[in-house]
Amino acid sequence: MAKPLGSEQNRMKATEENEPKIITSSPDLQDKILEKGKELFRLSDSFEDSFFSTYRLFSKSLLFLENRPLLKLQAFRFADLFPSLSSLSSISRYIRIYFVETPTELPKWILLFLSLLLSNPLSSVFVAVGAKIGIRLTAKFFILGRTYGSDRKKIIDRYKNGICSTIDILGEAVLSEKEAERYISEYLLLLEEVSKDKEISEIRDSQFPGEPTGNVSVKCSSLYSQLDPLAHESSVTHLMKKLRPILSSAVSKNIFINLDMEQYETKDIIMDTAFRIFAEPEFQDYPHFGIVVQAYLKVSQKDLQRVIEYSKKRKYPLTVRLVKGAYWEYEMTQSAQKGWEPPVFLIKSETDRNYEECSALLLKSYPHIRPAFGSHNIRSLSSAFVKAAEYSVPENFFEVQMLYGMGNSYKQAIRSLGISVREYSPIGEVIPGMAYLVRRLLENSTNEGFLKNINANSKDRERLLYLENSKSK
Amino acid sequence: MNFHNNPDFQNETLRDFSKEEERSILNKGFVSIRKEFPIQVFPIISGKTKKSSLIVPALNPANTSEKIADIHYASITDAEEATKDSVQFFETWKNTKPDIRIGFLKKAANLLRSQKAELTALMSLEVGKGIKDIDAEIAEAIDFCDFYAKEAEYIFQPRKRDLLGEENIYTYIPRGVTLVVAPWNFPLAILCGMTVAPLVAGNPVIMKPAEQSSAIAFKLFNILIEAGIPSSALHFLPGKGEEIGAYLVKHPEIHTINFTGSRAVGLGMIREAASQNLKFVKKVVAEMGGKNALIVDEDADLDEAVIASIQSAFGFQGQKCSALSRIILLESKYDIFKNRFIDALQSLKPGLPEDPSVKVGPVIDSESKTRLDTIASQFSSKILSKLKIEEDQKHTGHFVEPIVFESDDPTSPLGQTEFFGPYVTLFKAKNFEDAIKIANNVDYALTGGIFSRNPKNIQYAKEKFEVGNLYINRGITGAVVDRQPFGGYKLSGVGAKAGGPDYIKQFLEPISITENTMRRGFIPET
Repeated sequence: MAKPLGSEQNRMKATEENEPKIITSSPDLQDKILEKGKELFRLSDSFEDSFFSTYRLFSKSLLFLENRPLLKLQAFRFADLFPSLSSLSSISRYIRIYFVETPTELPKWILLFLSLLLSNPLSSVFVAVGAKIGIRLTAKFFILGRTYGSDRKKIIDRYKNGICSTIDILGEAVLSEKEAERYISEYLLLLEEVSKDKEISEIRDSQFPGEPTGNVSVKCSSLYSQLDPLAHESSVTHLMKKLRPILSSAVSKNIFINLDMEQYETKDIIMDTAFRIFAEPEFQDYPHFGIVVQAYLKVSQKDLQRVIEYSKKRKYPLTVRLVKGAYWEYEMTQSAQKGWEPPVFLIKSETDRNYEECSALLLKSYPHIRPAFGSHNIRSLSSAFVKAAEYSVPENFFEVQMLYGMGNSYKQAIRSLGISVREYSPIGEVIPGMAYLVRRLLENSTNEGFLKNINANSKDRERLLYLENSKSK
Repeated sequence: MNFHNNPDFQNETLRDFSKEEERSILNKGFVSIRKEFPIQVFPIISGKTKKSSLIVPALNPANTSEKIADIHYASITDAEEATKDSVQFFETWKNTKPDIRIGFLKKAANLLRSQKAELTALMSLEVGKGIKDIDAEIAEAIDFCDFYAKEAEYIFQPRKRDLLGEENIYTYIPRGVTLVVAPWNFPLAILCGMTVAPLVAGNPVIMKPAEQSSAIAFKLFNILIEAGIPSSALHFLPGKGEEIGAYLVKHPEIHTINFTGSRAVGLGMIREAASQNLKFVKKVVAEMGGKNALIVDEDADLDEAVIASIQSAFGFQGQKCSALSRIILLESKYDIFKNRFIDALQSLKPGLPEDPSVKVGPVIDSESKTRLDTIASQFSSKILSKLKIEEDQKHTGHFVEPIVFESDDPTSPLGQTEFFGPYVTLFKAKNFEDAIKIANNVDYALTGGIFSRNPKNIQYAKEKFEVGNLYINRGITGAVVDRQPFGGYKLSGVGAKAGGPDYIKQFLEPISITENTMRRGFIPET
């Protein structure tokens, strides 16, 4: 396996050297990617406001933070803290500490108004309630709901609009086996609820003939509290034991299971677990399994080759969700503190370029892998679409995945091209889930250029279609 | 104070055990060290191996049927000979160019680096430490060598303050023979740091390792000799603390005692040193102990606070002077923290520390086990949770069940006495100020921490929390050389922080030399 990989990388290197300006593809291909991107922008404009226009409002208000780094820092810190504030008085106390007593770029008149309101117990309650409602609304916007059962209406709405979903359970870190057991039963319950949803299955049968009964994303770190890279073997063994009932239930109900990826540290544990458990007799011929490859990792192409080789041996191909990765800051601080070479690319455009190279690898492996392109970056997606055409990969063989609540007009635009779109839809307690999501959003808003994408005028938008532009964070 | 940065110094990197290659090297380390068992550990004086009439076996604390080493104990005669040789060699060592001494430390760092796998295995088997703790410890030992080498380069550049007609030099000379009495809980790093600092300063050193970790100490001694330290500058005396340790502490030719260990022994040394009638003041540098607290504020991130508490309280079975033994919680967080913390404790796996999935190993010896078991039964009414350890496991080694106590009396021994084991007590506080008050109300001031997202409380803790090492929103163990120089005050210790800018100077006497260069009518050209 090592040999073909080596030559593959060399070939790519050679291309880089020959064409320093346009790196991953020929000028012709580059033009096609630009055209495809512009087409997506045009299409998305026609869907504007037809679908959740409140998102624009939200992203506009986030743009308020764009050139206010201190305020942005405090805002995200506050959102991180919010779930542990138990009373209205503590909310208003912390608003004062975080926004009035800590210097930020808040305009003077807002500051004055805010401190005036906070100085009086009655109006400070008003501020606290306001903040609580605001945060709850924002959280609701990104989180499907508390449980599948309570909020399945939203999923059904999506399906009616042609958008599938993969459901993920949000939550706190798993610190003990008791907490892990709770998550396992939550996953089992979710599978149960999904499989029993008659309404969805009717829509699905008519609109999405190839779709399994449901699609669930599983976070392995929430199934086993003692995951430890040093104890690789025992971590894999335990994880397999925890996953078995979940996979069995999914198989019996015909539900797709995706194993999510988290920190670099546990990546090999999750990959080895996936390879071993998917090969067990009960699961070896099941068509609906997927794993994730993170393009910000320097080893991602090597890993992808491993997945491709593995998938070739299966009766049905695995799905690979190709993402850029959401733990960039975490990986950077971890490696700095341990004195390690960072496992991630340091420059955003290198991640973007690698994403395109991984996309090409995935598409070239047709029909041995089903690609799922997880990105909100129109350039990355256009590049994948153009390459899919080049390698004659049928449009129904791959899909695009985007986060629930974000980029809706793009989802519609991509749908109109005949490409499936799936939303990564978290369920869980709204308030604790908020902190988690804000962290994801923080990472996304800084290195995806995604929010800018949505709000930029058409000229600026087109500039985002060049790889080099993503250099500036 | 004179602070300077050491831009060239870089901390040793930890091993990345997510790499299969690292894991397999580690396994080979166990195989190869076991071939040396039982390691024969002798007293060595000026390069001469000494015979002993007392040979004590060193057993694996997790599996007492495995013999690690035979420790040949040194006698009083050996101690006397080591002292005599040290005194004789002092002038030579003192006059050796600092650069040469510094070179030995750099070489030692490289030798330690090349033997990581075997050292890891030996530490795991001789003292029962977990692999990741050992990895950090070896990195720390390497850091001590590299850091003190760099510091010495700086210290031995004389500080000149010359004027017209007057030359002023501020420089350092070594104090004299240094006795190093080291603990078993950081058998490599602490012994290494305590030894190489006085050595690089120009003092001959007599190493008296802890009885429980003499085999690791012997490996370190051999590495230092291999690195080039003259055999007359460094002597190795394994043996009984009460016997040769006590003898050397009293010895009139010992100028400095560098000690890490219990408060009782440390304070005894200080009294002994002060009472001696010598022509110099015998100096005792002592790092003694702690009753370390972590405060969990009402706005704390509990995911992080619980994990950090588990690691700080139960890492190496709580046998670290920096270990967490008191968790002080704001009332609103008490119950939820308690439940998650207990559940997290119950998820830890006890067993042999060489098994990488094991998080709870043995305590060091039967004496320690008996002492801890007595404490457990004495406070049985306060036990909130206990991690069960199977009977057959208990029979194979010195296993003690980790315990979470709960108490409303911070003045009781649960809140005041250092247990040196896997015991931690939860206390409640009314508010943050109250929590700091409870935390400070002990004899010790070693390590402490807070989990808070309130900038006011963080500031308050920075000003009021009486500890030598304060940690905010992270665990309270695992200090890194140069980044977090380690050490406490109050009854936690006396002397400069290990791995910090003042440490080497403790083994030196600063002198100031002023020369009037003016002769009647003329001054030399500069």
